[in-house]
Amino acid sequence: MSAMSWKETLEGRIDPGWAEEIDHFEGQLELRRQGKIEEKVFAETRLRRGVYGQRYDNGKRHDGIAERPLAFEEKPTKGPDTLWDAPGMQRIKIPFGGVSPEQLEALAELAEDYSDNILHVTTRQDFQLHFVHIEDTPDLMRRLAAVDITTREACGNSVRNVTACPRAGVCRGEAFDVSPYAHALMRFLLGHPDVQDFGRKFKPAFSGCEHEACGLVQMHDGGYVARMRDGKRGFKVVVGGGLGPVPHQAQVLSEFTPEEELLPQMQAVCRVFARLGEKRNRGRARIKFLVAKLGIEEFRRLVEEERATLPHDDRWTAFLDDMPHTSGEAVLEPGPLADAGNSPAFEAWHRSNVYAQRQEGYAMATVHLPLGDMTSDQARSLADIARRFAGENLRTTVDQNMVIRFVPEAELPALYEALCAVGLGAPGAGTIADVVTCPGTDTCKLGIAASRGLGSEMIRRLQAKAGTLPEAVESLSIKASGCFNSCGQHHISDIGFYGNSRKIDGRTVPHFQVILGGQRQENGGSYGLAVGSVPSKAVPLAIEALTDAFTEGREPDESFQAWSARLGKRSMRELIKPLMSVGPYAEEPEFYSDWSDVREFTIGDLGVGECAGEVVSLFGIEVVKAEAQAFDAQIALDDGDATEAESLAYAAMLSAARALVRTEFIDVTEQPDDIVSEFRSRFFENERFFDKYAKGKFGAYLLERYANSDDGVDDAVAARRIEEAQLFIEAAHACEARMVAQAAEVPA
Amino acid sequence: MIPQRIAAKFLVEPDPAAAVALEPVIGLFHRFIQEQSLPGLLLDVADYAHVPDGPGVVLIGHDVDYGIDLVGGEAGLLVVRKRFAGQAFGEVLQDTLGRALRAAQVIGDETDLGLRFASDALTLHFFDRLVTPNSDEAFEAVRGEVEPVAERLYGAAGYELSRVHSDDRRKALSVSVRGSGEVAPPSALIERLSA
Repeated sequence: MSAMSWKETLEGRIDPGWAEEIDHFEGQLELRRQGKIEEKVFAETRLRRGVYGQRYDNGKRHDGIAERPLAFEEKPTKGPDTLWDAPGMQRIKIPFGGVSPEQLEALAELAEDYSDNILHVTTRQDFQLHFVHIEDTPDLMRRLAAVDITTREACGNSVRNVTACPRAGVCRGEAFDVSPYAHALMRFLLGHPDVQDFGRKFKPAFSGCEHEACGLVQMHDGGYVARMRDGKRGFKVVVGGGLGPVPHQAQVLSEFTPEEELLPQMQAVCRVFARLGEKRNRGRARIKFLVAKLGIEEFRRLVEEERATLPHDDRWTAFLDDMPHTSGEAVLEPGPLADAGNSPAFEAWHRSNVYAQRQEGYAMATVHLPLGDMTSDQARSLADIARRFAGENLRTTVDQNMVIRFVPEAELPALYEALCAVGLGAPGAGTIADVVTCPGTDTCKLGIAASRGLGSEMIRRLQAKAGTLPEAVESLSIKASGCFNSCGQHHISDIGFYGNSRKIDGRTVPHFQVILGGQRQENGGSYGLAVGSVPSKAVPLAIEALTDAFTEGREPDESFQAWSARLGKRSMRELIKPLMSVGPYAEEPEFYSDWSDVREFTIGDLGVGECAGEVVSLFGIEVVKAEAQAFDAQIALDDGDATEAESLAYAAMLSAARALVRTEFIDVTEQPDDIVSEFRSRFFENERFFDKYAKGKFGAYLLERYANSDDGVDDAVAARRIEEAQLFIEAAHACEARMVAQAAEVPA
Repeated sequence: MIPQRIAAKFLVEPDPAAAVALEPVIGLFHRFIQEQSLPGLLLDVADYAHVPDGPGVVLIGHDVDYGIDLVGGEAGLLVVRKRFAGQAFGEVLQDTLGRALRAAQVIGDETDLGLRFASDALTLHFFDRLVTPNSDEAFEAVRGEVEPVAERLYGAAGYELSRVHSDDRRKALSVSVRGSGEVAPPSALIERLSA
């Protein structure tokens, strides 16, 4: 059995930059274990690597009788009120949903080795693994990096996963394939200095067209709709959308941004958001609030002004000369589907799950994953199926499904059979039975009600009715969130729900607020409105009441949105009103617990969410790198490599100096010449870096080392340099603290 | 070195391919947490009943998971042992089997549930692609750890040990142990294991 580590095993198979970042994170884990990184800084650091908390990680859980402590061993926390050993969630970014068979196989392995054997597709095209221990996360990240997947900035106050319509590249109505642009934006912004100082997350989305329901750009912080103008590719760019408790529709920043301006414009947007976005009041820190406060005209002016100051970056346009490959080649020749001889089950699946691509003779098939879940075995089987029929052409979707593209239409029956053999042949994708939910109270600290339990119940009931519902009802969408934060995207579905609670008979009863008339089309064109709360256990009946009334009362071709708007909020409420009351516990005890959970309901398990991350200053984030380098220097010296140790200690001083410089001059490069020059003029010559007692001694360590790089290195020199680095870093902290204190004293 | 996780699965009897009602298991597992009925730091109940041939319902713990598992189209009790603290392979293997047998006994005693598990056969899964890859070499090494434990359960000549999933190296290394003698209940096997 192997005695090598994953780091050793995968050496040479991971992008060196990514490998270094993961090593750096692993170092930070160790520093936190030793109590050498403050818990808030560590929390934000791990969130920026997609390492999330889960419900009960504060060490308490109500077991249905009483709140009990969970007897985890006492260790340093992994964040405020977040116990080290408590299981967490690992979010894994899948830009534009593009995933290869090899990547699926790697994810399957990780789900077995570190999680609960389930791969979960999220409403932002990510994968999530639950019940993961934090100490397993560095190796998990290495194994992902070996198949070209990063978890960096999957969570935290940065740019999250870049989503795109799953039909990008095969859509009959798209202006052009947006996938390469989504990929380019992801690569450009990943770890970019200008996205490290946000007060909240930023979620971008791409759409190939204006009107369909796939890209949903109107509900995103930044949205990009493909457009052609005079034969040239470009994008309508929108900003300031967002769901959350108070949804906003995005506003138009630019009717046409040429493709070569996509990245610099986005960089300018990020700088404006970092500079002017709210940072103290987390509830108002999304960019939608900034855009609303400034107005889109002023926001646009600021972006243009910022754009004009940006130092040139070749990466803005380099990708246009060598567009990223975002789709594999088809593996089979196209061909038409045979008209006769197909089973009724196949026909039903074909009707709901198959989309004819613009490439003649090919189709995109949706693999319906119930609540976004599949097992490791199913993932491996899906990889085999994709290789056989479609090659690399797999995508995740925001409806928590997967799609296989470039399937010859003639092969659809064989594909269907292969999917059925592994439990992945369920029809009903995109129908009312394709219920979308967030994790809710299953694993989320903010969940109020059991969105997944409700979703599971609705899938069961609606699949049983498949083929019998009127077509107008069959085509409706249901989305449920466990709370008002909208991770289930309930605002844009025909019938949406978000979890809340009511006090009845002295007890707390889980409820869902009913949201009606949202619009997925027009890129998430409008949001539904709340009409009233029903008890969680009454939601299936509420859906029946609404859909029955819709079937009976709609005008020909009238959509659910139009029908509900025509009848009005009051009438909608009347439809669900009979279901809104609950009898006393003695008479109706079943209402006092939630779906898939026999415990008497409580909101006592609500915790502090990590979606908002921790607001850590730019200096705070960047100086952690210096501390990690200083730590690595010690390790190198212990390992007998004095040269490496001295080099790392010097690098640590440069990193700390750069962190300080960037609080005033964000564009300082990483070149030692530039860092030292800026540090000298901004902090040393004017004595701002000076310590009250040691004066310029600590600052001089960097300047002297910079000036005398040719001196020989032995253990003694290396040990001294490490000491100097640690003192320099402490002095940098002290300098920053003085600057913050002085800034607080200055009147506004 | 020991793998990240070691799992043991005992199949439902008489017919593991028959449908199993999972909803009552949710309530049972919540009660197990209330009453601390099984060894381990028990945390929560995860419902995956909606996933075809999936994990079913899982009692998630810090150091162990207990699940009524449907993977492979066969219902059974799957116990996954994890987060070992410096123990030897054989010791962990024995502990995993001990917990699995204990769970089989406790769940089997829930007469309302009507679930019983065949104790004359089990499958062991070793979830760690680095320490125990699905290779011939790793199988031989693991065999050396499994055989002493199998002997305690079923007697020196009373079992057959074979490798599962050798045709798909992507899957976790798995070993089938099938007792060939008289079928002993979980309680008896627990005694043999700790003797």
